[in-house]
Parts: sequence; C-alpha cells; structure tokens
Amino acid sequence: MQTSPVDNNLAEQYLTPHSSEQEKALLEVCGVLDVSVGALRVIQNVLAGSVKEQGASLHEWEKKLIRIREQMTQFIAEFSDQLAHSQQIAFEQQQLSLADYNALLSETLAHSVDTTLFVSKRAIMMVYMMDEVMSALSGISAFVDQVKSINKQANMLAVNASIEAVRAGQAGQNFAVVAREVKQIAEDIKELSGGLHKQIRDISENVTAASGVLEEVATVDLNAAVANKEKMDDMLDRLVAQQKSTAHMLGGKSEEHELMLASLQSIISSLQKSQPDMRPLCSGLDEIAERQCELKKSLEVILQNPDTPPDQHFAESVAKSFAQPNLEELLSDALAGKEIALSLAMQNIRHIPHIIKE
Amino acid sequence: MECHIETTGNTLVARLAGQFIFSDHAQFKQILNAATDAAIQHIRIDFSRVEFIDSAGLGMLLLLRDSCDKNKKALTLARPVGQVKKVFDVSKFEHLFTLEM
Repeated sequence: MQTSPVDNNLAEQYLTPHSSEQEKALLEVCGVLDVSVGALRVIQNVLAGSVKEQGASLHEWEKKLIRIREQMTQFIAEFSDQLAHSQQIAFEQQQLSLADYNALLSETLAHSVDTTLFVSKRAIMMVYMMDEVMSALSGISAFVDQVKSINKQANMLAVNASIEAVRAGQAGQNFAVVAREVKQIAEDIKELSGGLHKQIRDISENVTAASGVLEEVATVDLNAAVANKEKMDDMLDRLVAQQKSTAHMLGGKSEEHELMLASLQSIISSLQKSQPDMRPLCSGLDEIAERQCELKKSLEVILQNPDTPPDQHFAESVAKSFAQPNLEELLSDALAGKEIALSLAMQNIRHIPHIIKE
Repeated sequence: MECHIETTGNTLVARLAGQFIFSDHAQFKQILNAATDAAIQHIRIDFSRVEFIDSAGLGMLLLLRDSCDKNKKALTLARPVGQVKKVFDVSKFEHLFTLEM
C-alpha cells in the first residue's frame, strides 16, 4: 500500500510538554478526530453500498445477457437443423438427399424407357417372324398354283381321253368311264386349290393386319421421354439452385447469430471488467479510521495524565496518522481501465441492433 | 430411310439417312443378315445423317445387338446427332453399345 512520508517535525511537537491551551487544542483535535472517523465510516459504508448496488445491477445485466446468449444458441441450433433439413426431400416416408432423389427420378425414367424398348424389340422380332410366315405362305401359294397347273393338264387329258373313247365306240366304253372319273378328280382338285388359295389369302390378310398392330405396339415416339428428361433435369437444376440459396441464407443467418453471440460475450466480459474493485480503497479508509482512533486514544491518555510527558507510543501513533494510505492513488487504481471496458461494452451494445436489422 | 451399305474387308458399313422408323424393318433386314454372315466381323452403322429415330428403330438396333453378341461380331453405332443422340442418351445406349461420337 502507498503511504505518505512521515512528518517527523509534527510528531516532535506533540512529544513536548503541553500547557492548558495545548490541552484545549488537544481536546479539539480529539473532537475533530471523532468527526473524521465518523465521516470516514460513513464514506466507507456509502462506498460499500454503492459497490454492492453496482455489482447487483451488473449481475442482473449479466443474467439477462446470458439468457439472450442461451436463446441465441438455441436459435443457431434450430437454424442448423433447418439447414440440414433443407438438403433433404421427403419421399415415401424417406428423407432423400438431392443426389439420391435425382438418381431415383433418372431410374424411374430409365425403367419406363427400358419397358418401351423391351416391348418394341419383341414387336419387331414378331414382325420379322411374320415376314417369315408371309414368305412361307407365298411359297405354299406358288405350290398350289403349280398343283392347279398340273390339274389343268390332267383335266385336258381326261377330255382328250373321253373323245378318244367315243371314237373307239363299244371298245372304248370302259375307257370313257375312267376318263370321266379323272375329270371329276381334276374338278375336285381345282376346288381344293381354290379353297387353299382363299385360306392363304385370309391368313396373309390376318398376318398383315397383325403386322399393323405390331407397328402400333412397336412405335413409340421417344421425344416425349427426351422432353421429360430435359424437364426433369431443368427442375432438378432449379431445385439445386434453390437449396443452395436457402443454405446460403441460413448459413449467413448462422454467421450473423455467431457474430451476435460473440458481441454478447464481449459485452458480458466488458461489464465484468468495468466493475471497479473498491476493496483496497475501503481497506485504506478503514486503516485511516483505525489510526485516527488510535491517535485519539493516545491524546486522551495525555489529557488524562497531564504531568506525564508523551511516550514513544504516542510519537509512533502521531507519525502513523500522517503516514496514511494515498486514497487518490487507490481510487485511481480501482477505476483504471474501467472506462475503456465500459466504452467497449457500450460499443458492442450499440452494434447489436445493426446485426439484428441485417 | 435411305440405307447405303458397303463392305470393306470383314467390315460392313451402313450409312443411314432420314427417319429410322418401323417401316424400315425390311431394309434393316440386310444389316441383320450381316450379323450371321461368317465373312463379316464388324458392323458399323453411321447415324450422322439420321434425323429421327423412334422406339421401333431402337428395337431393331437391340435385335441387331443380340444377334451380334450371339455370333460374336463387333457392333459400333457411330456419330449420332440431334434427336438421335438425345434418344440414345435417354435410353442409356452408352451402356449397351459401343458408341462413337
């Protein structure tokens, strides 16, 4: 503790024998000392009360700020959740990432195209088989034409045989019977050939009709699938852009909240630092009061024993009463740096509305 | 569809032009037959002048692919452009064929 230098000359004065006037003066000094001690105690109490009150007020501020900080922390956590949630898409009771969702959509479209191609491929395969059938029918038709041609010759042969049988007269009668039978067979074959031709024509018509149906089955304009794919890609691009924007916005908010948290923390710390430590000053006041009490007691001893010269104890108490702690310095120490801390806290407090506004 | 076919060595090159649709199946049979021809080892189809293809055209290409696989022939679909390229893309033909861009 800093103390004032001891004034030895003054102490010496009190060691010399005293007159009635000096006695009177000593009584006055005692009275002054009483008043001084009382005043010091009052100052001490006021100071202690003020420090306590200021401390309580600061504590309230700290509590409020800590509550705000907790709420901010909760907000940040909720923002983080939203940020994570914004990257997901709910689909069939599942949360899918955008990449998974994209893969799922592509797979769905690919499956649809695969099905179309599967059907088309088999339809074309059937068309080629029907072409084979048509080719075979053409072969059969040519074969029937050949049969018809041979049959025509057989018929002609039967007619000629009949003519020759008539010429032969009685001898050719049996031969005429055979010629008629051959002619009848030729007629039957002609009829059968006609029937076969009709059936081949009917089958050909049906195969051609089936080919027409297969054409409808096989032909799908895939431009619709291409357009759907392009639309899907476009939609996904937009979705990705939107998610990025949301993530950016939430990320920005999170950064702002972190900034605000840091400001709040700084305010709390500054407020804590701005609280002056008045204990050394109170203790200095207490020390002065005690020394003055001691001096007063020494003076009272001198007054009670006027014939006894002041002893060494009295000299020491006088010297001590002048070697008081430097109160100004103690006060200056207590307040040192507090203005800066308070100013920093105020600066941060002023900055908070700007952060909120942003 | 126009179809110009030429054979160089053991490679058959088919240059197609126009629209490759269902009605071209008879013409495409020539290319399909090449897949069973012992003298042919590689079939290359040039699509650079094909403007349009539908699922029937793709079905024919898939049949050709099956036949080439069965007969161990190499098959290349070359230079698809425009709608044909988009349709090949949406049908994921890059996983099924050797594509030459």
